[in-house]
Amino acid sequence: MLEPVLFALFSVSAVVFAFNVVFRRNAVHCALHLVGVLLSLSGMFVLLNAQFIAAIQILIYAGAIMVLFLFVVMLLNVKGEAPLLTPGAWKGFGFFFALIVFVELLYIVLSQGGTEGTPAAAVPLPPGFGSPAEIGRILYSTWLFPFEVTSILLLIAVIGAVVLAKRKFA
Amino acid sequence: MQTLSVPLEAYQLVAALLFTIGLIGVLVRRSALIIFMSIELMLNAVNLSFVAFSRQHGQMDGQIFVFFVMSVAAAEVAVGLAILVAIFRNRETANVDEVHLLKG
Amino acid sequence: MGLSLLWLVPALPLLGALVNGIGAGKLPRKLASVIGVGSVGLAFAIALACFGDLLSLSPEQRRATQSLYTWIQTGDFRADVRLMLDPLSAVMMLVVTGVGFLIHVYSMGYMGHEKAYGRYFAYLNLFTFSMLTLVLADNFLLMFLGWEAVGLCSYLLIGFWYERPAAAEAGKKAFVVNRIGDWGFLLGIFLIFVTFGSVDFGTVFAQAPLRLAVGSALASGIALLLFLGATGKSAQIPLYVWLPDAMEGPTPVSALIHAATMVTAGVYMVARCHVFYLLSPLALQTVAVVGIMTVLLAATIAVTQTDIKRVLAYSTISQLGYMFVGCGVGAFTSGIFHLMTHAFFKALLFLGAGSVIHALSGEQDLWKMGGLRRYLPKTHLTFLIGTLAIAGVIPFAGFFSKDEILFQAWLRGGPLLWCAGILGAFLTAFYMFRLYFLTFHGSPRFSEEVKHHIHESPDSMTIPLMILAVLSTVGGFLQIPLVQGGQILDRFLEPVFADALALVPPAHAGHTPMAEVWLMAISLAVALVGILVAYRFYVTSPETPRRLAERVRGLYRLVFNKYWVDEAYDATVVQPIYRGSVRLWEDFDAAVIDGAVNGVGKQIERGSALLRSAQVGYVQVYALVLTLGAVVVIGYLALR
Repeated sequence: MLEPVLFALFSVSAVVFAFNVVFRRNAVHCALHLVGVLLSLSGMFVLLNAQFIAAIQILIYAGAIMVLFLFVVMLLNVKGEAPLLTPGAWKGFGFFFALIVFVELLYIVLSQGGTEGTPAAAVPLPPGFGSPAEIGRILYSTWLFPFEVTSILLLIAVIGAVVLAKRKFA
Repeated sequence: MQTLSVPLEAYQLVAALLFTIGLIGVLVRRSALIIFMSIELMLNAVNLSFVAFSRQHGQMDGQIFVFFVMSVAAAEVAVGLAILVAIFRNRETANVDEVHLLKG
Repeated sequence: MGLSLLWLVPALPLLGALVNGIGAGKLPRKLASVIGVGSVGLAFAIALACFGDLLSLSPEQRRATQSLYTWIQTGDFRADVRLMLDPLSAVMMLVVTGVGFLIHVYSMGYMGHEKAYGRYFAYLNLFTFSMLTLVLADNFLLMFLGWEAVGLCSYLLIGFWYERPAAAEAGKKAFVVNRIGDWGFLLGIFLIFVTFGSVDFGTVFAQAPLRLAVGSALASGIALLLFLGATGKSAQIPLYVWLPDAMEGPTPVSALIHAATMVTAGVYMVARCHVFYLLSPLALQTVAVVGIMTVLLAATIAVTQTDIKRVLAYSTISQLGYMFVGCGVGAFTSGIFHLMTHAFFKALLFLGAGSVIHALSGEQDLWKMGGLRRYLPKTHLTFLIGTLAIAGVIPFAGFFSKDEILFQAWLRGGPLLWCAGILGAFLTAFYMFRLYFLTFHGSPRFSEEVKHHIHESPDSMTIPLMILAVLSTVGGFLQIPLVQGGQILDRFLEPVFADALALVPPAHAGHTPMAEVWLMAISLAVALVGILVAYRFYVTSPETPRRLAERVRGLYRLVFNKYWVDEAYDATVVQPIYRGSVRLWEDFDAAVIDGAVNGVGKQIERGSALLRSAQVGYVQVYALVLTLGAVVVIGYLALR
């Protein structure tokens, strides 16, 4: 009985935090609310038997990436944007299209839910589902090649970031 | 915790909501920093969807995908923020509507 | 030994041209002259060796070929770069390299102060190479290559001082007029290829009598088209107009190209293709008529000209006319003989004129000369020999060669042709001695300042003059008439012409030694009369010519203005083409072609401007469009 309650708690907090991320004026607040979203999601991952992902969500996302964001926010020291939103005609279009996307997603989720057929619980979970050991086993066997490619991608990103940050653009 | 008392659709609904909110942020905010955060928001919405499907099918591949998405997000943030810093250094602004040199 | 080195004869001047051309302006002058003069000198030495080898063969076997490589081979068509040495090309080769070498030596002195010294020698060497290719070629295509290259060099050398508009114009004129002739030559080659399936001299000339009937239209067509080419290169009516203007080039160039060698290419070509002419009486007659008309036309114009080089230019045209008269009556040997002696004395006269011009600081007007024999003794003596030679005074070379042509004209062409020839001989003697007397006799008519600078030319200029003077004196002894065994050149060239001359029965009527002596005496007398008249007009009573000119004023003006031929060509050919071209340029090219091109460009530009407006530069607009795409795709997936 605990699970629906926790789900409700996490989902509401995630959505509320997300609203604050998008509509807060102060960038630091936005960043902190994003951390809130990440934490809420992490909780949901635990509910979904993805303990390892939940852990790295907090470690990497909330711990590393968001700290980077905050560094940049403070480094740039952007004064609160005068008008919050971009001026111009396309702002309205932005809301409108986003709404359409949402409606479409909603339609898919609700209409296709039935065809998924099996109730969520029907599949018996294999032992060790979501554990670091199992993740590691799959990652270094089935997904070894993409994993290596990812490492190269990160290397490139590191080099790119260093070059971009160091070079003086005249 | 073998049973799932919350239906999959609920998770998908939350993911769709978060994605839409992120999309709105990308489309309407001025600050490039916030746009970046909104993108992270969208990525996380997708991650939630992946994990939910993973749980539904009892397959670990979804979680592996989340892992990759996180790597890509990390790379993207590193480069994106570096670009942002470079732009700010040159233009004294982080607003995307003031950067339009690519106008044809 | 010698014959295997034949390829070196044209190759050496080519090498010299390349070295001097690439190193132009960077090589020291000494080196440029050594390369320029040395390459031709060496070529002359090898040519002599080849000639010696050729002589050592028995007369029937005097035909050597040397294949260098296959130039073009496609289907049935094949053209080799193959050199051929037979008595005819041997004579030409020796004239080109020998006279060419002397002129190269002379150029060292004459062009000594020229800035573009290396360029000059590069052109001169290139010219020698082209001319040698022309005469040594073993097929029509290679000959045409030499033919065209000669035209190109002529253009380059006439326009050598291209900063002078007149020189540039003259070069252009020479080139364009030559192109008209080349067009005929090329058509002739096409016709030959279509008829015989080959352009090889050996094949074509052997086949011609078998395939073509005497007097057939095809033979006439080929012969006349080739002759059109010859009129262009050898400055005959109607394409002679470029030669007088060509005098804008440096004087040694005038000597080399426009007197001694290049202009003889047409005569050589007609002699080389004599088979076709003998197969077509019509073409033969045309050659003779054009030749004699050119003789008279050019000789009369020469009488009134005041520019020393122009007089010589018209005399060249006139003498070339004699050569064609010789060829036109079927006496090809006589034509070639006159070609050779003319090369000697005309080179001598041009170089002598160059020496005079050099001494007078560039003055070319006869009326501003006079009395120069005291100042330029060597030039005067050699020039006198050249003048006597061209006037046809025994025992100088011109007497023998011109007389032979006149005799052949009498024999085969009839009295009318002979009379016209004699008239030409009289005019020749007259205008040449007019030139001589005005230049070297009488009282000086130049300014004190010019007088101050007068000097005899350096050795590098006078030595070639003397050698040429000797050649102009003894050159005629190759063909001594009436004496048994005196016709050395005749016998030497016989293998070339014998087979073809057998085609037409030679007209022997009236060929008696007595007749020949009489004709000789008459032509000599006429030449002497011409000299005497010139002496009376320009030395003893200088008033006479002016009074005479007053009396026949219309005629004088007609001749003095060169019969207005240039003006007539300008009005009938040049201007219509020019105006037509302007129309094409303004109405067609500028409006239609440019309009189409610009129109397409403008339309694309307009379309691009439309598309460009999509590039707003705001990243969020792009994101918005991206979202729109996502909406469509998701919508499609959802509603599928």
